[in-house]
Amino acid sequence: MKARGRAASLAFPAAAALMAAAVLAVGVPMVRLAASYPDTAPGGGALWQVALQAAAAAGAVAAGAALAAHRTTALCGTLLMLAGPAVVIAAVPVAPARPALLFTIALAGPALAPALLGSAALTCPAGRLSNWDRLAVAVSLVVAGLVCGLLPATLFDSKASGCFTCAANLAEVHAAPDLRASLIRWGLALTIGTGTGMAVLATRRWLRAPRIVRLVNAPVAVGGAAVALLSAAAAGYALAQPVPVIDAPSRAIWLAQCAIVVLMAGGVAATALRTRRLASQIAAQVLAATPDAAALQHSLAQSIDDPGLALVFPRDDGTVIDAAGQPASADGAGLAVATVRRASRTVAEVRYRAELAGAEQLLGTAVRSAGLALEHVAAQARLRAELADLAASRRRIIEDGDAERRRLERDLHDGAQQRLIGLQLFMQLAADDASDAQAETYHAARRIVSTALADLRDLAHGIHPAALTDDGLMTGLRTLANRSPVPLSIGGTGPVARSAAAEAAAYRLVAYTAHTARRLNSGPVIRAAVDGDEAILRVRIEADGIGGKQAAEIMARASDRVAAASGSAAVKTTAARTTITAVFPCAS
Amino acid sequence: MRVVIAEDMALLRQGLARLLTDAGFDVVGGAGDADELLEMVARSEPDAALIDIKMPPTHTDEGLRAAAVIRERYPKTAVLLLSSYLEARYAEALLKDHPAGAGYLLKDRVYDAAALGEALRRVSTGECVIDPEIISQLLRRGRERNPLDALTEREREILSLMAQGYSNDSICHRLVISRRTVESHVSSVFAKLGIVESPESSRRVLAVLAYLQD
Repeated sequence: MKARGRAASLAFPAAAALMAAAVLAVGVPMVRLAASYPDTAPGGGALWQVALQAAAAAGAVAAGAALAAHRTTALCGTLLMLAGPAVVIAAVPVAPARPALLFTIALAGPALAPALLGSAALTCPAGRLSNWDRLAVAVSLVVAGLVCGLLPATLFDSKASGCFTCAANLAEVHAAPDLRASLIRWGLALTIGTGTGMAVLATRRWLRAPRIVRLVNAPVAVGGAAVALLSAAAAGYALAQPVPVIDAPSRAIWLAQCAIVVLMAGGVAATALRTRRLASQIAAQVLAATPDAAALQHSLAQSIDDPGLALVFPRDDGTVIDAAGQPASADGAGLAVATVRRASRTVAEVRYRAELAGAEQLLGTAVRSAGLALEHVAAQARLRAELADLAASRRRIIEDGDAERRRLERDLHDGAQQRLIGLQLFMQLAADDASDAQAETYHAARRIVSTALADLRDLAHGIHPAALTDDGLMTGLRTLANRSPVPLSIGGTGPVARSAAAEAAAYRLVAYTAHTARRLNSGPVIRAAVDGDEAILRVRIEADGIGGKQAAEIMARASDRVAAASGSAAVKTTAARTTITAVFPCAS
Repeated sequence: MRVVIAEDMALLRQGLARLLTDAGFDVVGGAGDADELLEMVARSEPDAALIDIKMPPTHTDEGLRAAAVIRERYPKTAVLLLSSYLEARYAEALLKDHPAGAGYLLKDRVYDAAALGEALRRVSTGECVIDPEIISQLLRRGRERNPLDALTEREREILSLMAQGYSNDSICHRLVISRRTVESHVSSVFAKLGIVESPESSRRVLAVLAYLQD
């Protein structure tokens, strides 16, 4: 595919160069001859006439080369390229032409150009050609090349037909003037059919294409169809004469065809330009959609040669942020500030050295050309700041909740629990002093208080694990393991850096897993390992007998805590084992 | 036996004093915070100090720290800590540095004059004491492969007593069996669990605790 592409990319310029050479080779003598024998030149010999035909030939080659470079329009482009030399051939005056090769070509090839242009029109919209289309192209080329061109030429003898100044006909096989005359009339009649047919088929195919394809192919399809139709008209006109001659109407038709080809080439060029402009517009949009704040700031800094230039964005609450959404210093003391406004709203502020205030104009130009990109960077900065606000708010909610639970747990311990212990003790003392019957009542009451104490202790531990906050994650987890009816082993070297948020999140992850496992009768076994370094805390939980559904429940419960600690957690369940790994940053 | 009590709730302190006096102890003082306690210990050098872990000003581990100071400076005074946390961590923290003559009792138990009295007597003779409820929680916890299943009923009992800080002599008295029987049970337990036997009963507690929490 690649090799083919390279071969094709070499072949098309080569073909285009060849066609250009052919146009020149035939065109230069054509111009000379047309000037010398204007009456026998199909397009006339005046300067504008010669120029129009030359332009048509060159335009056909150029437009053809442009189209042939694309795979989908290769056939159409090739036909168009071939039409270039064909236009020149058709323009060569027949009568006194020399040298012999040129004379023979002029004799045999005048009808080819319209046929090629018509074929180009039919083949130009991309897509499969129907068999009828293929047949039409073949028939029109055969009629133009053989019936109207080569076959009559084989029957022509210059001298015998009375043209003594003419060069020898290299194609001559046998001089037969009458047969030639009738063959030419047949050719003209057939050309009326093929010209009209090509025009109709090309127009129909073009009209059936989608709108954008119609738009892109309009020059070649419409122009080629018009040329084909005019060739039918020219044939009809010639047929109406006793002998085909070159006169004003036939010349007008031919020159009109040439003019159409020039317009067609212009149209192809305009389409190519329009496509290129569209591409550069899109490229600009793409650039504007993902602007790099640092690059933008760098460009602005370069515009006034101030490497310290800073781009900041005021928020609605009056705070000022940088491109990363982080708070920027609110006052730009000793700095000049250029405010970028859009629809009465401040998009951004450019802070730069006060001495450069004279260079404002330069900066203004740079800021204006930054346009959309600047707005985008500003919007992104505000979005980042809002995300950071949300994350901080979630963290605060969790931290406040934890602090509150911790306070509750301490209150229960230091308050209610101590009083119940006192109550229990005094009931015992009362029982010691009382009669046997009364003592039994006191003992019963004391036992109720004992049960209440145990309940209260469980409740307090459920509200907040004191061991975690008092003695850290590993002690917290071991205490959890000591209470756990589900086998829970705690391993690993433990955290290196202390971070309350990370440890709380890691603890909950293990605790939720243990709580979930308690409900299951699949004989779950949990192994948790904690390690880390100065920067991170890592937890790995392997839970046998916990399936995907329970794992999802655990993650759903823990996700807010994990996110609030800026951590990330991943869960993997294979067969009957769930592995949860989580990493938390420890930077305080 | 002379005892001081450190407990910040005055009513509870008085109740405890009455309970211990009734049980035959000589309560020589009551302190409301750690400083008062240390002063009292320095003055009267009691046989034992009964100390609440949470005391003013911060209500965190003042009692624990005071106990460490007492074991350091006044080796004749044993310490028995009280806390309402059913957690091994305080006991471990206390025994790590001072395995002998120290104990940790669940505060819920203080109404029980017999249990409290026995614990005080044991710490004052140099044993260490860990609340039986903490040990039974450790024995109950879920285990992936449970080597405790290999123990006989009696061996389990012995293991529990060892974890509570009982020396071999105390175990003999408690279970009313011969010293040789106790020793053979202890060896059997250590062999079955793969714990290296420590000659000293107080060090043995830490090894068993570590084993039960692993």
